[in-house]
Amino acid sequence: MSELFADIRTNLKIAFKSVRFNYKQYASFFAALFLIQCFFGMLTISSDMNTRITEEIVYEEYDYDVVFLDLNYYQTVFLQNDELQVFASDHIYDIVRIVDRYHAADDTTTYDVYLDLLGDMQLSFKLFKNKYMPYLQQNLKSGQVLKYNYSEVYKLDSYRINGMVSYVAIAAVMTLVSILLITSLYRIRVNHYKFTYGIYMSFGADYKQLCKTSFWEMMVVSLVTFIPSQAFSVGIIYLIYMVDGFAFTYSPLVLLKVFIINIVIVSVSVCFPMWRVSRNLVTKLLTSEDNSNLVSSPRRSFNFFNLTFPKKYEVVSMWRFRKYLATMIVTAVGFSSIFVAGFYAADVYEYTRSYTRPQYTVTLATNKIYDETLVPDLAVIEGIELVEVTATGEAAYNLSHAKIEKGAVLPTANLVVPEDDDDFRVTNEINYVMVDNKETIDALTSERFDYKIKGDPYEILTDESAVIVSNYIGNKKACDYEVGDIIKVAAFQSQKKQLDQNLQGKNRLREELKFYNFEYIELHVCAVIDGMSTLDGSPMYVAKSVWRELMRDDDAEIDTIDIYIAEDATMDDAKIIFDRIRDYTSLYNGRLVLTDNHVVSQEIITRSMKYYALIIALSFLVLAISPLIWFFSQTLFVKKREKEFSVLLWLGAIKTEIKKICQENGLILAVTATITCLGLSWALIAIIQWCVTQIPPVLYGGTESFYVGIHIPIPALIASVLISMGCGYFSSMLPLGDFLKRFSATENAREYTGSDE
Amino acid sequence: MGTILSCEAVIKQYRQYDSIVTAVNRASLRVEDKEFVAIIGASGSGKSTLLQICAGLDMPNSGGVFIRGHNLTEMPPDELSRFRGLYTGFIFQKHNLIPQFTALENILIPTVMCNKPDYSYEENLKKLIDTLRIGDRLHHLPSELSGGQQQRVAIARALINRPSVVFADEPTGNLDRANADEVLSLLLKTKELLGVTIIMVTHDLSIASHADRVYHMENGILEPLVSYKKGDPIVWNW
Repeated sequence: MSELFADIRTNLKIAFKSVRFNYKQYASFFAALFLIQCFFGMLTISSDMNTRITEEIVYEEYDYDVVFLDLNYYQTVFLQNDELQVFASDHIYDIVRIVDRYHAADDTTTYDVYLDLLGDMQLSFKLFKNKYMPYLQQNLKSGQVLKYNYSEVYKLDSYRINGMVSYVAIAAVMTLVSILLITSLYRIRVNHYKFTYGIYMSFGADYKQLCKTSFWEMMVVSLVTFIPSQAFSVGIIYLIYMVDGFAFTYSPLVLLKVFIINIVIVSVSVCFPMWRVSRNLVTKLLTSEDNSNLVSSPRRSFNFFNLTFPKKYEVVSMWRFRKYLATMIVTAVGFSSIFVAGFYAADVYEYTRSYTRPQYTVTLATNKIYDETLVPDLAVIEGIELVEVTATGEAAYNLSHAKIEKGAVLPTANLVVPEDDDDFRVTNEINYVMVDNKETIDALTSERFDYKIKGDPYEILTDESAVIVSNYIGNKKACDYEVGDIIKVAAFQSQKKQLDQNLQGKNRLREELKFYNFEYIELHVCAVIDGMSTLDGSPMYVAKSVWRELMRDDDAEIDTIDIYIAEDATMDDAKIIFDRIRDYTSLYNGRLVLTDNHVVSQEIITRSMKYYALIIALSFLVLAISPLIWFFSQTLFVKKREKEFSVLLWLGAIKTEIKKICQENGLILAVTATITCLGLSWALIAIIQWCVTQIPPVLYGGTESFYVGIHIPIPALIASVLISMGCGYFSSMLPLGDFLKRFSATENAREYTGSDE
Repeated sequence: MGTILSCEAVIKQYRQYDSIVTAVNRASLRVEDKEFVAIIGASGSGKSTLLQICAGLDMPNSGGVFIRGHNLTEMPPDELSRFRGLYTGFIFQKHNLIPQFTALENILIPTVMCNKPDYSYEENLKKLIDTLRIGDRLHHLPSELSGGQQQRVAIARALINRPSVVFADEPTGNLDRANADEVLSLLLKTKELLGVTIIMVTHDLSIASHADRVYHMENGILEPLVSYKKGDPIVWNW
């Protein structure tokens, strides 16, 4: 162990001398590692803060894990006495409080029992379900359902896990980005100093030795930037969270985590450039003191007889350096494009975070409970803003499909073409939604959802042959409906042949079209509504009679009602509205189950996590990387061209012509960088949009899918374009200006003639 | 024939820490048109510095340099650059070819900058390519050429504008013996073909023995080698 420390000390000492002596060479690495350490510092501190804030808010708002609603006297006494406990270890819950509720309608009293589950909550509740629930359910009247709600405390572990998963996912992505950054900078450095590396290798340095030297040099740079970067991170995070008045806490483990990530990044980043250097022939490194290794070998020469100097001269030069320039531009502009994409990602996050969700859900125990007054009565309860009925059925599951007029289907939609009817296209990626009340249409057309609507959706309430559709299937635009378009929905009648159960998707649908008998119901489009997620199927809102035919159930009825309250409702408001709804649903004698979805508390928690501000702050850090790469790369590149400029001056060029060469270079780079920035930004945004709209949420632990459109964050794009343009231009001009100031034909003659006189 | 270049009492000094180093000490030189003059001397004698002053790449502290009657020491920098491009050519020890251009493009760069009206570059180019035997490597980058080929391209570049004077600073210094002899022979052939004047700095006495006249330089002092006869081997104690 002591040998290991001695070895580390020796390596650090040698590396420190090297870095200190050549600190200008490492300036860009200091900046890059400072940014990277800031990034991870901010990410780690905010992750810890978010976990703590979540716990704070949840424990402040909830003092129970589970609440059983509307229990009768016997059920309540059963729980109070904990009649199933035999040994001390059987004690799996404490009663926090019991609240009685008097129901004037039937002159009864029910009880809400709030429980605190002991030990592992999930395990305790599993035991509770197995042991206590059967006894509780024995005491229910016919048709009644045992009602209970979890509090957010119960879900705290899942919040913690989600937070950890988010942290790991973001850290993994940014580790890759950081490795890309340091590797790029190292490649630029190696290219500039390849002669030096050639000397090292001629004296026996191999890959292992080169890697070790580079690693320790980067570690010295990391150590110098570590404390300042962490101090900066603390400052930024403090400012972000201070706005809401949360107390700032800091764990020393942050330093350890960031340091470990730093070691990983540095280790991996030096490997590839050093491997590439070590593969080179030593002679190649020793003889290549100029930019010759960056030149793309031509097949023919250009016709220089007609060349204008310096304009076309530089165009030819840049064409020959195209590989280097393309790599440099894409790398540098890539980071500024990530900045733009970061703003888009922040907007998407904010949209999905604050998406309108039902605060409560009423579930009917059986469809025989439903009556036409249920939904209107709920809708007028004070505090309720919207009521949405959801009775859905998947077309594929119900052996149904929809035939859509060919003219309404986009060529890119790839829907099934029926063998016997070329005028229509067929799909079963449909969810039929039953509509029979005004409140559902009110919810659909509400500003809360902000869907794009064409036509009159209310027509469906008076015309059974009307249908409301979406242009999107699987979150991709598949159709371009106009009001009045005809759709034929298929109700399964019988089958001619048993189909292979292994058939799926479009193949299954084609077989159904061949071997099943359907009765088609012709509908006309009364409205087109876009903006909701269609990842699990495109919604088609149909009248109740049509829906029953498609479900092949004459008694099919509404089974779920979603209730939305005001966006700015507080926890106290939510509790009051909850009690009002309970008062109403109690009229149904326990056959309606009211679930609290805790949307208000979730909104408070997620808003406090400051992910939006964090993503924006991190995006700015990423943006700072772009000028770093521009100027580091171009400074060294122009430096290598100084010999060329000197030769041109000796051959008869004047200084203003050399300046024009670099102006030309700068202008071309500025224009190319602008186009690249626009293209890359759009591409990255499209990738994010694809991920959000196409990846099923179950794959990343999510519970709901969204549809988000592509929009370009204009201020971020403008900033990114201006920085790319400015860096493209000035990264050529500034090093040249320095050269022209230093240049006298005399100085350079001595340097480049190779004579030692 | 007349005097194409003359420099009179040229002095060049440098400050090195606290001392003054006199690289060229009152050197005077006169070169006739179409002559081949060699300046020999040991390392550090100041011969390259003198050559650079004669070519207008460096400025003396005192003294004058005249090419075709023009005083280089009184020209403003831009005018001097243009003058160099039109009337002089320079061959460096390290070829200093521009890496992103092919051999042909490198040769033609001087024509782009200093276009001589009423002058057929194409004809001159063809002669140079044939004489220097670089026709099969014209479209290759400098990194794809051997040392000898690179130097031949550099010679072609120095001569494409048909300069009045060609300055060669150790043009064979980086080459092996065989290549050095070949390059020298081609350079002399081209000289005869185009009728240019060559002033060459070298420490290789066998190369200097091809010159019409030889000077030697020692500690910044230039003196003609009066005992020299063209073609005779030069014997000199450094």
